[in-house]
Amino acid sequence: MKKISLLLALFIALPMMASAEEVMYVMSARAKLLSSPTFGSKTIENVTKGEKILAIEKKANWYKVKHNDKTGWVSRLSVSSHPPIKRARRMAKADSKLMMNSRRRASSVSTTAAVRGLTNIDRSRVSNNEHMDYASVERIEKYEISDADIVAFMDGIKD
Amino acid sequence: MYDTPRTLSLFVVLFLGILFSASLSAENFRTRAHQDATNVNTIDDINAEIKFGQTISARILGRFKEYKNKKLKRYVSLVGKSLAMNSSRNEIDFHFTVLDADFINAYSAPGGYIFITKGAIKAMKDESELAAVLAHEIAHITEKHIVKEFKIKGNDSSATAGLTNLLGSSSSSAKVAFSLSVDNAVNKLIKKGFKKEEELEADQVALLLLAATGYDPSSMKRYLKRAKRINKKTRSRQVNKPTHPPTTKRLKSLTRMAKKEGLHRVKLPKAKKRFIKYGKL
Repeated sequence: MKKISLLLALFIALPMMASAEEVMYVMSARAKLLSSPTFGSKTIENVTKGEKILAIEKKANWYKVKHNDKTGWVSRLSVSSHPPIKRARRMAKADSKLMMNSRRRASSVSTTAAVRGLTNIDRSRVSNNEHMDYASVERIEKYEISDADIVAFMDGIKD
Repeated sequence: MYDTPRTLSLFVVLFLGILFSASLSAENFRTRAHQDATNVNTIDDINAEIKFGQTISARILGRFKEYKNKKLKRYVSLVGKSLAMNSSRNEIDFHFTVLDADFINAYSAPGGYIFITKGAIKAMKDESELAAVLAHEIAHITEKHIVKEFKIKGNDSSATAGLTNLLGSSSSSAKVAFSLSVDNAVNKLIKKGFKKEEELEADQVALLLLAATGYDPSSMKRYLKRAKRINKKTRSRQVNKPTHPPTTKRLKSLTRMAKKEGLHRVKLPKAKKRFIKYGKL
């Protein structure tokens, strides 16, 4: 009888121990912990970018998570199993610097490919005889808007 | 009565079965969670993606000129960056550009480069519709449709798969492979279009993104219907063919998704007044 009781205890306990829990991180700026896995359900609390949450279940596009002793649902778009990493803007800028140097030498808007290890012949293959406007790409990358302005703009989404 | 060997065996089998199914479901959950985590890669991967996107964008901008309108550029960028801030990929900077073209279309290149035509904006009635189109393009980037197809990785032992290897390599075969990847990616974006399932996935992610940012998610369907009507009228004069699957299929899929996510009951703003002030062409 003792053996049976032990097995019964294991029967209940082990599957519980096997249940999945995964540490995840909030990725988006304005994630919400909702009472059910649908938009429009009650907001339990707001969670901020970088915060750790414990995912206990996944249902389509939603994770059931624990956060600050509260349990709720977050959209899969808002979380990741890796913490947020620094924006890659600096690296892209470093690349643009290379483009600028090359442009100074060749006085052309289409010479970045050469900097990246492509000769003139290879570059013509890359461009498929089409014009490549790196100057405009660089201008686009330089255009910045502060996070504060974006948040203020989001606050103004109304009818 | 439980002490009979037969009952005991049955009990053990049942126990093992439940344990197995519980651990299997736990494993499936971990696998799914891990698959979702593919949205974040190494810094080398992101750098390679940006470089690939820069090259594709240079090609797009070599073909279509930027529409120079400071007020509109700031407005479109603010709408796009608001959506991007709520997306799963805030490790990259998103850049939004209006193209001086009258047909209706939008494009996205890996690394966060998004382009929308003047014609597409002209067909819009409110900010939520602009957000819908930009959210769809953002979704192609967050779901890494181009990155996955062209196997863009920062460090890869395969010479044809590792973009950094291709860029840094002096071998002509590597350069030709890079050149072919760019050609094929541009062809996919501008002529061939994404696969049907990629487009439908982008629509679905866009719906979630719209709602998470605070925009009316039904804007996507409204805009698609109007764009279809306009395209029908102008198709004979149109040089650039539409690159998306039939609207009817997209509308059906959007309706299904909205119901599944409870979005059909959600009332969120269209932000029409602000669109008329800053975005109306």
